[in-house]
Amino acid sequence: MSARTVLIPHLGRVEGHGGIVVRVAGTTVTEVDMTIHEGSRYYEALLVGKRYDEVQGIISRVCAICSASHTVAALMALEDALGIGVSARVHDLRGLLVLGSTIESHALHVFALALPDFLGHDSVLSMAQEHRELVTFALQLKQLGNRIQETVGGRAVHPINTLVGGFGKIPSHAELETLGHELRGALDTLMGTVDLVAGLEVPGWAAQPTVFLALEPYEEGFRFRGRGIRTSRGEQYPLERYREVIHERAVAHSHAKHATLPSGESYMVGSLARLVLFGDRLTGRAREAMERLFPDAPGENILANTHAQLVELVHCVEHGVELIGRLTGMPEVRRDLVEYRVGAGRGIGALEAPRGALFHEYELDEEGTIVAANIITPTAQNLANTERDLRTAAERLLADRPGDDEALKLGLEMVARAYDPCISCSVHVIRDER
Amino acid sequence: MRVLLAAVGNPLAGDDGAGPAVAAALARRALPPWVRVVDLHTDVLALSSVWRNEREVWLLDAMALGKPPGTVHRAGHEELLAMSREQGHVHALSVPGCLAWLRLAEPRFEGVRFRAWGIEPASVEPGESLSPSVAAAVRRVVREVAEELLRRGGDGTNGTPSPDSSDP
Repeated sequence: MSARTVLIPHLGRVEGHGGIVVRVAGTTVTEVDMTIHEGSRYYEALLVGKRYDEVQGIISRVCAICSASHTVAALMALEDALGIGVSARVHDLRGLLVLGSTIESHALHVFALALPDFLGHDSVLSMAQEHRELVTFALQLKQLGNRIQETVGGRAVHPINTLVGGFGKIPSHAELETLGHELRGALDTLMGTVDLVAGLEVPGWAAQPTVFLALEPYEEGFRFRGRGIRTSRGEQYPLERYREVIHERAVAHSHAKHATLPSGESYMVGSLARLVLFGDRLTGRAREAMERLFPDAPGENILANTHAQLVELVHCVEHGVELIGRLTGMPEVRRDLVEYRVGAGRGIGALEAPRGALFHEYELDEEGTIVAANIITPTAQNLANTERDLRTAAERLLADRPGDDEALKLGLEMVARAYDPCISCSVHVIRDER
Repeated sequence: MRVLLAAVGNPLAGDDGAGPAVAAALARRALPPWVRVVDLHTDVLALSSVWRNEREVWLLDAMALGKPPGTVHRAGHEELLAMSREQGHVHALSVPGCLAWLRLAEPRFEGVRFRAWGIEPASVEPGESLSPSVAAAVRRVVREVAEELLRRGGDGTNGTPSPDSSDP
């Protein structure tokens, strides 16, 4: 069989664009790469020279889906640099904002992007013919995530109310209670989806030993904000050492940098990594969902990342209700902003964005001008592992069904989608005409 | 409100910022009181959150349909909804796919009339500036949309929609 190239010019159902090129000789895969451009270097350069209080307005525009995560990570880094401590109310409201963003992102990915693959449909719209209620619920859930962000962040798409030191306007108890009511109302349908997905077979052709990395939660519990870095090999690092842990390197075939651990191994960040490392901290119906979807504990099959996201959706709904209960138990105030002095400093902020660990680091001068910025996105960290899994999947699919390029394409799309790459954040479009 | 002008696109991704640039320029003008301008960034489904019962939604977007950069694509309601979700587009789920999903899941959108102006991008690499041909197209679309609104006059219910077409 002659050498050939299998090209998936863009991942149509993934945020932004991206492409996969697989070169095959006979049944041997000779090259696999995702053709992408790195965007975060541009965003870093854009921030240098700006005032510290301009950062969140710029960074939230990197991506519509991840704007809350970028915003909160940036604020945490800036407050670390300026030595600012925020109130428990601000901490919890930001937590709720991140949960809203995760609900929005996971609802879109699980129901509209990944589930059609598992249910044998080519899109969420064709899935609606068989599962109309599910498709309707998916949009309602996504919009609930939007509403949480709008209530807390002041806007559905780009938060505007989130400031260094706190919030310009605090949502009323009535607004928060409305969200709590809606969240509680989503739980039963969500658990019904867990039952549906638990009955679906997850193909095994992409599974292989994987190193997972996630942020160690700031408190005992399953949380998205972290105080340290953990890997599935048992390593633990303080957040301040993230540059030593995450090695970014240029690779010849891609405009994007690839991330590896100091050992040179690629790794995975995201929902599956969080469940592997901290799933034992889940409680309530999220724990039930994990036991239902991962009866043998979360494993090393990237195609189960969708299942992990579904577990996290249940957690986000439950924890959102819990946070709202805590917030409405506090006195009602109109704003919560601490006073602070602007000065030179360097700070790091890290949280688990929907797609995995996100790092922001800023250095400020005496006037509060950004002199250096470093942003490492989850998608950039996952690229090396994505290519590795694509290669493995391609080799196995070629061995099972030689010459069936359509099956190969669908399989590769499923792997790439399972990683849920947010190419708008970390990378950008490619029109590969090879 | 009668008309919602909804920008789609990422202004940090070069010509993908064409729609937001059109919307920003229109927002600086004295628009009729029955017009509202919103920025959806790249999340067309956020329409569900920002829509306030407007009868018409006019999308302002970048559309990569393989024409020369700066080409202005115009699509009326039927044409827009009939466009394939596979058709080249700069965003996640295609705009027609998102609109179809909205109409399927939320009956309140059934009576809403959609139309779109799309500008063919030259480059969507990271960057804040528009390429010259796209910047020129942005000015053309701003003028055209403003004239269309002016033609409506009154409470915004008059006037005939422009025919669907593209121009270089």
